[in-house]
Amino acid sequence: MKKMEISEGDVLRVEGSLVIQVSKGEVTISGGLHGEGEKVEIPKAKSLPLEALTDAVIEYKKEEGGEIEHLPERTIPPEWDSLVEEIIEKKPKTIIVMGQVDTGKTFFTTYVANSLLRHEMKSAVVDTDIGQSDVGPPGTIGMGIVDKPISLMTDVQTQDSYFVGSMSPSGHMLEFMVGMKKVAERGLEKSDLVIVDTPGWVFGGPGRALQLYGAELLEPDLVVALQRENELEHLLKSMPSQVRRISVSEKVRERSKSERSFLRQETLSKYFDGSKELNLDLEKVRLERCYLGTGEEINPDDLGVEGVLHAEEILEGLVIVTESKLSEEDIQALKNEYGKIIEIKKGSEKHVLVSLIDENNDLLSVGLINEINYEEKKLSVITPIQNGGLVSAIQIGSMKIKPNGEEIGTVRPGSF
Amino acid sequence: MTLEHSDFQDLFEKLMQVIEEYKDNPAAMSAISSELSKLYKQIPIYPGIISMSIGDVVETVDLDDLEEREKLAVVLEDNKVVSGEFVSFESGNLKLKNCQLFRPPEELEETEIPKEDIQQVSELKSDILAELWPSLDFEVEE
Repeated sequence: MKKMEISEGDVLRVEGSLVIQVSKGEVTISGGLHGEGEKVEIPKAKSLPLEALTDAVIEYKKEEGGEIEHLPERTIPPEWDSLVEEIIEKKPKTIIVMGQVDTGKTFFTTYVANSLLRHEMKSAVVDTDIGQSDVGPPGTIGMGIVDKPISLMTDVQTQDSYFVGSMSPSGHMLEFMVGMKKVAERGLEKSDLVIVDTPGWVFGGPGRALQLYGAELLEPDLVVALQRENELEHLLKSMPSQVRRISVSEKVRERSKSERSFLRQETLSKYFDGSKELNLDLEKVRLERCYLGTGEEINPDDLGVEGVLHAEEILEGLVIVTESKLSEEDIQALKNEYGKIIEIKKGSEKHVLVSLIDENNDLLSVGLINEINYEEKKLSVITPIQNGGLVSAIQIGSMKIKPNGEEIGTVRPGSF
Repeated sequence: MTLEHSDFQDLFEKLMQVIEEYKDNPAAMSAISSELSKLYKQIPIYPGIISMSIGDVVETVDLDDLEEREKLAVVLEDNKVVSGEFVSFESGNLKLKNCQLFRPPEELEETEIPKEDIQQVSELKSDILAELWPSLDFEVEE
């Protein structure tokens, strides 16, 4: 490892892949304090600020893409530190961090949580970026406690997560709101305060609704608005909570649609890496968030049409699972008899994103359905967890994803 | 989430169904379109009721049961469509007033159009998601 002497107040930009060990003195990385003997690994392509709190000696080892350079001045705006001081003084319980996409909300949350930890305040962080979850599995709202310094939000150990079932809150507002409230409440039980990193969807009716009702539900003591110009003012006008406007760091880079898509795939692929098939008994494990499994099972032979593998009568009509799509005439005949018909073609369940829930209604993991055997009432799912005995329920999501992380489709609401 | 969060899902599906059903009947399509617009202006917060109502805008009627009807769309044996207000049905003849005649589209192997006859040209796209949101351009099983 190479050695570098730095003086109190020096600022470095450290970019992964890089391993840093503090040999002498104290430094912060992303605001997190690291003393003598502590080692930090910076992942590839992540660029973070290192600040020397005292004269210090660091040792480092560069790997692929690794870089370390002196900067002429601090990159953390002074207003961030003023805000931290204000939080220490006023001790708010719930903080919402609001901002459009690519405004550095996650880094800001990391910095504030780390800085508060230096003053012995333990924060719960709620990550609502369900497409590229840093905390918790993909497609979920995650919560973790910052009880030791972190370089990145991904370093936080997940304490709780809630399955939303998609890569965006669009069309999933109910799950999103319930999840955000539940994990924030649980976070607050285990910490001094909770910091909610909200989605970047701030425009249009649904975006406004998401932010405003979300804020009303969480009842924050402080709203931190990260904005480049005045793009959040339309929301802030309706906010009864105390609002602190913070400008976006010039270092924040905007990502393209294709870059986001690539990052989502990478997150998903990493999550499912090493996953195996888990077989579950549908006599013991219930299905949630779908029509299937909520009705009174009836004998398919009694329907008078060929090719039906499973049938159940529901309040709205009939759910049927078929070998291949039924003819218009058969569907019409069933409609005349039962009303609404939900036809599920066998095999259409493959790759659907689901969550696996335990008996306390807590999320164990997410998974991808491999197959449902309707005759034997078995469901096989690709998932990182291997103990099927813990699973009490499967919640159906809205995306179809291959285990390599490739998104291959969506599930039409009401079709399952 | 595979449960629908609103009745807009039903409305989309109903609209796709009526478009398919009446694609060759421009008079019916025109009536559906104007009634849809009226319904949405009246009750934008109830897509389920719009969905339940829109399918009843066009109702097939027997020739012997025309007395109470006001506006009709008539599909002729040669696939032309006539729409108009009902006057009478006597001696085997249906009489309408204030009518419009719609001819079915004609297939042409090729054609030449003089520039002075052209008012506007539009490109008709069939793969818009691939162009605008390639990451969401999923293959769909029919």
